[in-house]
Amino acid sequence: MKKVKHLPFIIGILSCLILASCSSGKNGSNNVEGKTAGEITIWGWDVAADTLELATEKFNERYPDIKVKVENFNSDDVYEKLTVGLAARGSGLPDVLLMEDERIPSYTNQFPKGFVNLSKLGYDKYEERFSPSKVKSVKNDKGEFIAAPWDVGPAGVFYRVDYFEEAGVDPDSIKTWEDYIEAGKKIKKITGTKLLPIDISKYDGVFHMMLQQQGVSYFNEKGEAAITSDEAIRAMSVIRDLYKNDLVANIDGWDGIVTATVNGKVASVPYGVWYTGTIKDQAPDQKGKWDVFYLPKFKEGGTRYANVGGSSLLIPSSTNNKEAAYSFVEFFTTDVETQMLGFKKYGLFPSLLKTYDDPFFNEESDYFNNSKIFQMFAESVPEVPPITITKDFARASRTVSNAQAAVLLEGESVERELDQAEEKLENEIK
Amino acid sequence: MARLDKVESGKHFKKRVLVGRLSKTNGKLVTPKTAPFIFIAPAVLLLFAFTLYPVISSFLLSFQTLVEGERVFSGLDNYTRLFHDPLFYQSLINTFQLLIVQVPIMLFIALTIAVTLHSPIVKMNSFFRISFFMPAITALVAASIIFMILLDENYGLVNYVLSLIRVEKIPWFSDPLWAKVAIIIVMTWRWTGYNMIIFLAGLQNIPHELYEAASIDGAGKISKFFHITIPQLKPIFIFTVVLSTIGTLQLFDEPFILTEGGPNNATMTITLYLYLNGFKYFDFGYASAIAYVLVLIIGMISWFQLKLVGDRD
Amino acid sequence: MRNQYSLLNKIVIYSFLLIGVIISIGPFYWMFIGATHPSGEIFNIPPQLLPGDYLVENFISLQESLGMLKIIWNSLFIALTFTVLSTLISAAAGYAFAKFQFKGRDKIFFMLLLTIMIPYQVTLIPLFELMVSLEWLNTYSAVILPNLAFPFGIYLMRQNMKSIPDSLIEAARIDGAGEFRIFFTIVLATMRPALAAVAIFLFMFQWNNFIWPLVILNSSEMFTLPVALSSLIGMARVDYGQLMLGATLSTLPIMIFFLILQKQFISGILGGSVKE
Repeated sequence: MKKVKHLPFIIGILSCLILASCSSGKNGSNNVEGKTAGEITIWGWDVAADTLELATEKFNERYPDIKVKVENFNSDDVYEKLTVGLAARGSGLPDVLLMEDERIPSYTNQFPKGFVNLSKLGYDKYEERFSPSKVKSVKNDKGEFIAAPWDVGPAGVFYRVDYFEEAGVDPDSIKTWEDYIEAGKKIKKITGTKLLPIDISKYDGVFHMMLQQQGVSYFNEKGEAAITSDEAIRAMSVIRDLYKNDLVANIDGWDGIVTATVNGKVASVPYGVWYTGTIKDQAPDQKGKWDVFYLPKFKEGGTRYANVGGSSLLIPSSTNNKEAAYSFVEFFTTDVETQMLGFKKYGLFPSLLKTYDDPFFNEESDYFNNSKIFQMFAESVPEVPPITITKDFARASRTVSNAQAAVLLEGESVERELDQAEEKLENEIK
Repeated sequence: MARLDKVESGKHFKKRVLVGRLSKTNGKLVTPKTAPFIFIAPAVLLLFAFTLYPVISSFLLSFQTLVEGERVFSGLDNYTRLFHDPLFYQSLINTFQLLIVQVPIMLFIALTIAVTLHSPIVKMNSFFRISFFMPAITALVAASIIFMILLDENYGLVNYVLSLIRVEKIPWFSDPLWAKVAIIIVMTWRWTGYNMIIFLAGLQNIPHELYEAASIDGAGKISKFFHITIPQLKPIFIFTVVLSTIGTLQLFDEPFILTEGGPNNATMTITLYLYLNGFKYFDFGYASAIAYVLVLIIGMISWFQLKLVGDRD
Repeated sequence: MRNQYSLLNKIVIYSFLLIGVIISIGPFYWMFIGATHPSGEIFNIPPQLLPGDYLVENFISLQESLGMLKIIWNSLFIALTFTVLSTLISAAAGYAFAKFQFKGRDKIFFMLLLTIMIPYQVTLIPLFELMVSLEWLNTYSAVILPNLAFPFGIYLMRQNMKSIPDSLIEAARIDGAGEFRIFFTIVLATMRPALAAVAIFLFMFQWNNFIWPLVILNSSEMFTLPVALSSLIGMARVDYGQLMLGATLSTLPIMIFFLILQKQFISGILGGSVKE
């Protein structure tokens, strides 16, 4: 009889385990009845996830039988989960997924069967509705749509109106990077403020903007490393000159950039349009003190336009409800009203060109010195040069950041460091 | 002592068998002979299910490479590549530099605090204990943001305070040397209290009689410290050394969050390099190869540390 | 005794400890202050030193954006279930390793210790595949089960169990007590401090566990605190007030757990290994 006494213990453990597994949520969409019904799950982050959530209402007016569920993660966490899921042969993934454009090539290259080819579902007919640079970033090397374009980050230089005025610098007079450096020297002398923040050893965002405005990237069209191009040397030399003149605030990470901005430690920040939201959120008291101008040019050529960031929607092949997922992606990326929703509420700048006709773009922003900043950004979108991004973007960016640190902090020569960086990169990706 | 232990338990073993036979005649399933297997069963079964399979699978993965999303057998490729990878060597060197500098500093501070708290002079023991232990229980998310902001070169509180005593701005995260120092500071902040508590436990376990006997013999405080406290703490000390060594060789959180391995790979650690290869560059096979070379290194060092002090367990 | 220490001695010792305390808990204080202010103010220089009046607002927005109460409940449920089960499993295994002779004992124990050396990053994907094939994605069991046999916990228990006198167990056997009864009424009862110590380690581990729950949990109703907190750190906008409040809340339970158990924790942490 003694045996019975121990039974509760064993049963206890077992039932705990079973209970735990029962009290769990269901995963995903199981009922595929008809073409456009069922439940789909979307992974996104931050305000983009909020926008997707907002959009479900109008989406359901058109597709009442598709239930949409949006899960909000940190963007790094989405990639982590996605990587694990894809590596486990497409398990546990959502039906629709948000991804930054620069990551698309690495995922589609490594997991070619991982995502639904949108061209095959008819997305090609929307090609004309987006800017060429955005279209290029969401297609694979065969020219097929792998992702549906959503937001873009046209670049500009955000600047402090009061500092510029105090130093007597006219922002309209800044045409080239040389002008920018001269203006910076003046501002530094009179206000004591540095010109711009750069996370020297970890982030080469400014460098990449400079490449893109000249129409190139880390790679040539064949996808080979090309960071010793004239364009690259020019770009890194400007950054070196900025640093040599003590105009660069070497900050740490995203929080560092925000800190520098909020505390007025820098007179300008070259960044993507979405930075407007950040400035407004974190420094509400600096209303009227900020404005924007286009990136300065290189006197050797190129444009004043570039793009920082931007994201798109993908459908993992493991979805049980491809039709419903595509319906959502198609609706979401091509519906003007929906795109304006995300822009007005959260500052996610649409790549759908038709949205730019909306009167909202013509409005003056009182926070930004009553300028029509959004119109300005909108006008630049179709002009942004398309560039080649490859699967090795992350490695390239890392390698260049290291070179940037060596040039700026250790005073090495630009040519030598970029040479070495290219060699390193070639070794890593071959 | 250990050997004596074994002899002793051997004696008991015989007795147990005797008792076991007795109970068997009563028709019991759980006898002193079968009991240990029942007691370790849950642990072993769970271990088999959730550790053994992933370990074997990832070990096999280290002989494979990903081609077009499919895993293909590639022999020892990943391992030969590893031995020619300068970045791997650098991560190895970095990790060992951190190990050699950080672990002694941390254990020294931890021991000092533990001895201080143990002395009868200090009141409010629980307040101090919980205070020193706090960093070990912080959510990593919080700790990372705190230190990013504290150690910011231009606007961080630390440089601000240093500027008050006329120390020049320290480039915490952008200078290769200072970045290592920053990692060491954060690691020490996080784990000193943890080790301190372990030392404190060890100190409280030293029998009072030893000290009393020494007092009768006329030993002074310092002599007692070196002749009783230190030798008595030895097993605990080894324990913390082995644990901290394993922890540091697997160091990931701090460089991942604070420096991402930079500047110029100065804070790239082995596990961070492993992670980058697996999760950023999707080279899971290579990442696995790194992992198992690391396991080998940890195994060898732990074995060596234990041998060095005489194998106890 | 007391007269041995001069006032100067005391001042030196206390200032040493006080500096240590400031370094240790300063960041927490700052975190707490951040939780009581609106977002941007965390960056102010010089920093805010006094609590603000924004705590309630931050909590309300945190509840709205994450469903904080549910998240705390999830975390508590997972961590407590894990701690209770894993402590029992560790105690049982530690008991077997310390107090019995059986075939393969040392080999199994050695294997157990080996698993400590394997970095978790490498087993993440196979473990995930395993959970997929068990259809355990997005379940609490998937979070709780893989680490239940916690090598460090078993090791600590084994070291402690060694201090139980064999005569105690023998006496009970001779009195006719069954093996389970001996374990539950005698062994566990004498091992309370060790159980407390192991429980704290296990609770700390599971409460702060991040990557595994992140990978395995898919819907926000299931999230644990670290996973939910991480979603607050976006790229374009971070509400630092909410974040700091979330971080503050996430340290409170362990603090309380530690405060309650600290006496036993310290005496139980390594009781066994010293006595060797």
